[in-house]
Amino acid sequence: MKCILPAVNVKLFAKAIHCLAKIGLEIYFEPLENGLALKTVNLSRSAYVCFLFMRSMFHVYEHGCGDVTVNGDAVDTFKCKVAVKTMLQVFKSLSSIERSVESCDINLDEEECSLVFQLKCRHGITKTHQLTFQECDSIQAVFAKDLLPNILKCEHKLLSDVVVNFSPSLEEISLCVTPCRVNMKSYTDSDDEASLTMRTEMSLNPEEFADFQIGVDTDVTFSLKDLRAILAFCDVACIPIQLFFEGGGKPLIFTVEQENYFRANFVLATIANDEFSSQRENNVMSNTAFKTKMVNGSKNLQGKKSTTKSVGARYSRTKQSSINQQKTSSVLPNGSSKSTEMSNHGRTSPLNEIVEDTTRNNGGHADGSPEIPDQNFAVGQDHISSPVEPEYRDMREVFFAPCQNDDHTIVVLAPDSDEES
Amino acid sequence: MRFRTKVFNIDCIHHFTNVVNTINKLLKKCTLRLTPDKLYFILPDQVSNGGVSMWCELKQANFFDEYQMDGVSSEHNEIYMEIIAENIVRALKSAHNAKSMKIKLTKKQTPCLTVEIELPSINSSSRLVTHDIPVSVIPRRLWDEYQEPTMPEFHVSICMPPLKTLKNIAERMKNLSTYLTLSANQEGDMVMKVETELVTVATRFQNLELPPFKDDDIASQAPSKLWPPTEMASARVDIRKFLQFLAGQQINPFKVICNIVNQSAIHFFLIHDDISLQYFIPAASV
Amino acid sequence: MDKTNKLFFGTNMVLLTQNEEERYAFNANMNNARNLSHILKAIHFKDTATVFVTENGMKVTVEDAKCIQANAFIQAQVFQDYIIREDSITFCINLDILQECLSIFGSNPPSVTAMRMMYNGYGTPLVITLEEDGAVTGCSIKTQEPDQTLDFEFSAANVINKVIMKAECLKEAFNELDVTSEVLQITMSPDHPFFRLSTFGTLGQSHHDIPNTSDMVEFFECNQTQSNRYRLSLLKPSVKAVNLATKVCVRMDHRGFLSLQYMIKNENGQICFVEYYCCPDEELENNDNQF
Repeated sequence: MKCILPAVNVKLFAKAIHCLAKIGLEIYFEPLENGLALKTVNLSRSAYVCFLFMRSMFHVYEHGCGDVTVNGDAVDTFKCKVAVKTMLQVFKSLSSIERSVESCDINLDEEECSLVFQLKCRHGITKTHQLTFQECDSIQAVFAKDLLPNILKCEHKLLSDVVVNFSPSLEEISLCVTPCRVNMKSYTDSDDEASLTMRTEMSLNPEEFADFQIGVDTDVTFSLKDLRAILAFCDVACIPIQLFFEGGGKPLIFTVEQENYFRANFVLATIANDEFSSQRENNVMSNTAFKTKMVNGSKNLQGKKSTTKSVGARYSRTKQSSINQQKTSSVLPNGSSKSTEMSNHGRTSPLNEIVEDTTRNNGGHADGSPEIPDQNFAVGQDHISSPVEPEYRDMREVFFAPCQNDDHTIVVLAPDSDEES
Repeated sequence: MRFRTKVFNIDCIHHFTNVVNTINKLLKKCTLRLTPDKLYFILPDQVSNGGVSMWCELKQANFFDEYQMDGVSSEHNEIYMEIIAENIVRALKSAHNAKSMKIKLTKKQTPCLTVEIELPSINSSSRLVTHDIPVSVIPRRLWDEYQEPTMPEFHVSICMPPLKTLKNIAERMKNLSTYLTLSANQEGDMVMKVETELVTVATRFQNLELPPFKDDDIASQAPSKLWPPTEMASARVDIRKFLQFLAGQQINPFKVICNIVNQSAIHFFLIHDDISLQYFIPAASV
Repeated sequence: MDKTNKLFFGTNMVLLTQNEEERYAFNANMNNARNLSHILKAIHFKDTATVFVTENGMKVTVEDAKCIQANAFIQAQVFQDYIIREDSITFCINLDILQECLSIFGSNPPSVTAMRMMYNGYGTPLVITLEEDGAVTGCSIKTQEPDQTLDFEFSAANVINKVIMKAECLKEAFNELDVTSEVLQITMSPDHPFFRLSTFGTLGQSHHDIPNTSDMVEFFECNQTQSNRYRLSLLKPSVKAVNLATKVCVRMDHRGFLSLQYMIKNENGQICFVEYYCCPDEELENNDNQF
């Protein structure tokens, strides 16, 4: 792979590296036909990040042997992972990058076994970094953000304004939504702690969101530190952020996207909550996309449901089939009986199965339409229902380190639609 | 017991924030005493144990638009509670551009001082931030421990030079030694000194103002009356504690009075329009 | 007691009477103590410094591991008053303490501290008086017997390669060095890569190239390709100097010894120099030498 980033995009790239560095310890480097993907997953596997920098971001983008095809399938390009510290060495100072870098050449050569970053700077200065790396398989999180019932879209500034009110030492934050209110509040897991620490809550009017679709009233609790990392990235990208979620124990997906330019998906595990998960089961049939932007206190979800009933039904079926197929439990930790099924991972690391994949649905989502096109959905369903699909054969089982926080669900790593061309 | 207050004026919010930030620099956990007219931040007397003590009072009317309180009883119309100063600081950070702020005593899982802040949003709606700060209410029988300290029988009283200058000097001295000796006489001289095996550093200020005590303020047998005017009274104090006090410059006091009880303690009195703050540092034994 | 009298006493502490001044073997004053403390920052990587005073000025030397030496030169002209009653004076002093004393009233503008420095020979303390806004600080710092300092025998006649560049570009390079690398390899050559800094860390290899045509380079005279390695931990302190400097002169002699000369401007617009000498890393010294 050989590509050249022009000066205007180097900072965005550098900022992405800084963001990845705040989440994981290694950055996965995957040259794809439509662009370069950088990914990471954190140690406890509760957060996964994928940046896709598309061809148009580069002056030159030659993705290498992917052009060669065998039996019509593109041959896998060489993929590698690099320690976060190593990458930061190249992109250490954002201010000096912004000030002096004129272009950045990235060269990944499988035969030479080298990964070289060359920054061409002002005054004729050249900085060349030959980095140590490890060859590796692709990692992918499987998720179906467009199938999730709750979608929020806002300027990143709104979330930054919220986050700034919370204590820097706070670990987790809960996002609570109803069709007429959005609350974010500090989360403490024990009562002892709760009686000693300050609790903070902030409530927002849905009108502050550019897009506000709540299919299910729910609370999701996730890592505040990860959210801060995401927002730090958004600060430079300066484009809106989208949230997709369903309920506690199910992943929460943040997406930052500039069409045909770059896309970042952040998949965060949420804390499973028995109360909410049972509630979720009940609601699942009515979990259809539902535009509540103009709704004032309306709770009549049932009425709207009928129009998209079939989608809802399929959605729930899809979920079940995938659970069976993967032999992993859907996430109910905290002593949920299901987690014991996962003998090979142990009770302490329940996996959350995140069904389906977004990129396929990308087109459908770009216009901000809450409806899930049936057609797209069908694609997703095919995936799930036929485990012997080629893409699934390619899925690498990634070894799961024991989960550090029992309450966190784990992102299952399987083909991500970001890979698609 | 009831306590509820409201502010609309952003300047008052900033002023109150400033006071609380200063208090937070001086101590971690403090006692908040509420009376119908005043708020007090108190660190009870620990001088005998070698610790510092503090007494800060504010007139509520200078800070709040609405202020309602009912104490534990009509006879004892006051509320005492223990609170972590840093929590108030953090809560008030949200109020930087608030439309309004309410502070009230609430009963959640535990007693809380609840700070409700209404913030502007990008449209006509408001954002609401609520901080619940856990407090522990101090029962009536313990109130005696939180009474205003009596003015010590000092030998020398002097107005201090600008705290910012003192802070610069004390910060350097901290890197040279743990203790500094603060001395002053009734002729307007003040000296800060550190002494170690390797170095001796002494900074002298002169012509400092003397606080205008009326003669009848001080008994004729008071130590300051008997102390020779040119004689230095001094006390050796922990530089870190002294530096903590110097953080008090944040509230821009118009006068800072330093009372030295020779070889035993220093009493600082910080005077501002709306606030008065007293701080005691015990002398360290040599 | 009247106030003018007290004020007079205060002023006295700084200026002293003629008689008192004469007592000291070395007696100098400066209208801005930062002109001294600023340049001492550039060599402050160990607490002990050796001070040499002659009629030309003051040289302050700091050494480490018998492999690196930093010298700060403060010419007599940088002082407003400069009296030395012996041919030369040498003593050792704790640099941490000296720096704290010099910045007792704060180290940042707009504060301006007047300073007088006095020394009366072997065994006596260095006495410093500082004054700002009427407040006066007296310091008495214990001095020690001078250490023998290293002689690197670095002479201009043996210099093979020499580059002068704006400090700005070296500053960026030094601040971005891969700290996991044990050594910093400096390559100077008449052809590509002209001037190269390389590190070999656990993270990989990095090269920082500055071509002779760069507008950052003011003088370039390389006669043959030389590539030498220096322990990064030894060179790291010179980052302090490069951060303060306006220009840097990099020289290498026939033995691979390195000289880094930093030109530092003080607030009065006067120029002072700081020089670092470093010997090459012996084990690797000849590996990449191409002569």
